[in-house]
Amino acid sequence: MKAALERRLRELLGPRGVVDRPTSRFAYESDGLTLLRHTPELVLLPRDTAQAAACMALLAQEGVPVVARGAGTGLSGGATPVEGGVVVGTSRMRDVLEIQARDRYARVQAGVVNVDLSRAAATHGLFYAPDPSSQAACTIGGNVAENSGGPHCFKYGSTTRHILGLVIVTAEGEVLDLSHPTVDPAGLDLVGLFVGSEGGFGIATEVTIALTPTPPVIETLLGIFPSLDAACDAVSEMIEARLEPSAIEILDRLTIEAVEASVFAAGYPRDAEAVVLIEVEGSEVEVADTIAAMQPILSSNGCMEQRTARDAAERKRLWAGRKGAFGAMGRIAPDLYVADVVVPRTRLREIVRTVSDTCSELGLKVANVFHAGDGNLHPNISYDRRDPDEVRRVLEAGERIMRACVDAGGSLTGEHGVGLEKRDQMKLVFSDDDLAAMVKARTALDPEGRLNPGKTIPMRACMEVRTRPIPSLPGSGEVKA
Amino acid sequence: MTTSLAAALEADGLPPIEDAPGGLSFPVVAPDAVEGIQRAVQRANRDGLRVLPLGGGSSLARLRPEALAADSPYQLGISTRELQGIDYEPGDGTAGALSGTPWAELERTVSAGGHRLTPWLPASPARSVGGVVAAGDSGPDRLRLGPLRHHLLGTEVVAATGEHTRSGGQLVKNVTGYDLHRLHCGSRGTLAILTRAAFRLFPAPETSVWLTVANQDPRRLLTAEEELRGTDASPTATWLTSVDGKHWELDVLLDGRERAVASARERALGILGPDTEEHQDPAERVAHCVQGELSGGRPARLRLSCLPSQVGGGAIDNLQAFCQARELPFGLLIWPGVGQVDVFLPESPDAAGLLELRDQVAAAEVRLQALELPPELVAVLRDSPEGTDPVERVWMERLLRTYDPDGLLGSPLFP
Repeated sequence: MKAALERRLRELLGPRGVVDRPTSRFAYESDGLTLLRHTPELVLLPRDTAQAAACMALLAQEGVPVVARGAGTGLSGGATPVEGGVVVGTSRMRDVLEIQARDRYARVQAGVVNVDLSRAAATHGLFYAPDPSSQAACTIGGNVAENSGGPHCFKYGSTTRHILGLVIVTAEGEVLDLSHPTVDPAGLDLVGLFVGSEGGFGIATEVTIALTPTPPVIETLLGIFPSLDAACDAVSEMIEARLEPSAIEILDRLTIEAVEASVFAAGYPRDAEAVVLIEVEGSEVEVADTIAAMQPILSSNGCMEQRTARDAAERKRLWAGRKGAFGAMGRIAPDLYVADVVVPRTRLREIVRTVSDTCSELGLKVANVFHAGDGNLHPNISYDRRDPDEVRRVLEAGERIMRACVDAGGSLTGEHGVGLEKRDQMKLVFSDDDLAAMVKARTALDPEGRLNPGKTIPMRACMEVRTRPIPSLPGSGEVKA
Repeated sequence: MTTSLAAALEADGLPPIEDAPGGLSFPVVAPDAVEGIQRAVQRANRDGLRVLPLGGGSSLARLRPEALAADSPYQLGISTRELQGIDYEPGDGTAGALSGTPWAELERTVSAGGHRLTPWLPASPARSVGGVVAAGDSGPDRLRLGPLRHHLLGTEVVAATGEHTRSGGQLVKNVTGYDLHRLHCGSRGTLAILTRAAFRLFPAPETSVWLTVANQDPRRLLTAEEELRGTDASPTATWLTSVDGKHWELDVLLDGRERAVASARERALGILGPDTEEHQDPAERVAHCVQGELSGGRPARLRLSCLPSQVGGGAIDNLQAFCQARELPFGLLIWPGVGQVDVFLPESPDAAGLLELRDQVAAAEVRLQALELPPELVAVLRDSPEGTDPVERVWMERLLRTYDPDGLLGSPLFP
């Protein structure tokens, strides 16, 4: 990178806004997908929209590729740096700018941590509904980029349903203000297009977010099952019965063992093959009726015991176990491959079995903890990255699971995004023409292809010619262009 | 219609339909398969014809005169009305339908399976699935369920360049690839011709209660509505109507499970007061409000959009002052919880008046949008310095140019 550009960036952002020491840049070499790494040339940390825009304009002049980054908790390699490129992080944009309780919205900088927004809104009787497992660390800007989900998205929907407006810094360094408080877009729905675009269209620096009233009654149930199949069947039947709790999650035996042996111990029964964690919210009558309709379905599918959280503390503990499950699995092996696939909710049992069979065949240990109500599976495969053969088998399992889901009418990702991890599998779901239509959007909004190049859309000779290629998985070590 | 074009269309296996809707001055084809739509688009590309995409044609009443005039900018209509079919997955709570499928038919199908489709459009029985998605329509149930675009799971389209492509899928949760279907929703067919759409469904309500209360003072009704919205009664829809700016009615729809609705009804009656009336048939009431007294069968000309807290002072007060100063009779259909006010006027205001109203409401952070206005007035709003953000315009123009490089597709209803 040219010294003159570095100097101008330092003048613009100040010493805290530029990370240039190799030891410090090392922390930005990957996101949660640690299989792929590359140390960025520089890390830039603007404090606000104006700084971000000025920074992007300078980078545009020199044609420098840019990878946006929130907290780096993504699991698909969306924030993996690219050769010759810089990372623009939002970690210094952490202000909650405004909370309007009467109109139930907040305006925040993109680097605000997900759970901090709900904390800030709580005093107004409101909360921010999407709650990824990483919500204690992940940022709102990152949630926007990935269209993140979480357990309660079963009722409330993924991030996109909660985004009212955005301020975006474009590839050229212009500021696009889409934060006007209107109901519908006047023309094309640019906000809808931007959410989930994985950093390929611009960098969101401010987000206007719908807040949800805290429900008057919340009940949390734990259904204990003798088999994972039975738990899956119970969930499919609840969906078929049109029941509407706010979350339906499944944890299997291996996950339960890991959680109960960790600091996240929630009191899940260690002898259960699976538990179904259900939350029901609403008025007193709504909650009572939903639970009453649910209980016979759980029983008829072999549920051995149904427990209801006695108080808020027990409810919190049950959820801490669920959300800490990925962390708890660190006990099983040094590395974890967290898959993220979706299937129609009628096919849960079948695909969960396929996952088990595939991993068993490849000699891999898999734990399942997933958003069953949304058909969003997270097979977690434990491995040791120092063992190249095991890495190969993990990736093969991932590919086979994805294929099985797509064959069952499902899709590659429900909430983690495509990034680098699933880029090449996009061809399983979409035709060349479908993908070309997506490339057109990217080309229209980032004509030089400098924003998060090589991610999301698989490359062909005629596509994304301006971007530098990034090799496909597998492989640890540096990402070479 | 020129005979050579008609002959070319015939040769392509695309005979112009004889019952083309509403006095259009150009031929309309209505293929019964996606391949036919592709052939029609290819023909338009070969001959340099500008295309007006149509669903069932029910929006023609809202088409501005340019589409109907002899010197219309369009030379070919492509209707998707013959593309019909439903793929309903009751166990998964999703439904997909080909574009020409009547919305009401899709609604009936999923309702028989215990599901509800949003938007609820009881006042527009003739709408097609493609038409509803292309318009990005919402219904009275938006307050509780949100806008259509939040529940649109995926689309298939024929591009202006002829390819048949898809985005999203038919899954309740899915972030695979860019959400191009969000672009198509509300794009009025200006990016591509919709051929299929898939939707998330909701549980059908076991019962419903519709309450109406009248008052001379809209503020009282707005206060009651806001109070009700703040309770756990969770109304599915609320709206205010006035046919003359003097007499006002607040309507409230409560629906869901039996016991929850009974409890919500008690709560609502306590807030709305003893003069509240109950209606047995919500659909009839909606049709009465939307298509009856207010509009005389015509849609609203203008829409004010704002935050819910701005509806009373920012939107209604400014509008009343504007109309009263001009002795202009007006009717209003107000969605207070959504922040939307539809304005019914017997005739369009002039350009100067429109800009004055825009400036008045803009000061209160209310946005004025054209719904049914002559094209020159639409342009006045669009091109004014207070109109769309310039960078937003650039992005939209780039997308339109990218997906339709030759300007093949158009709609007089696209802002």
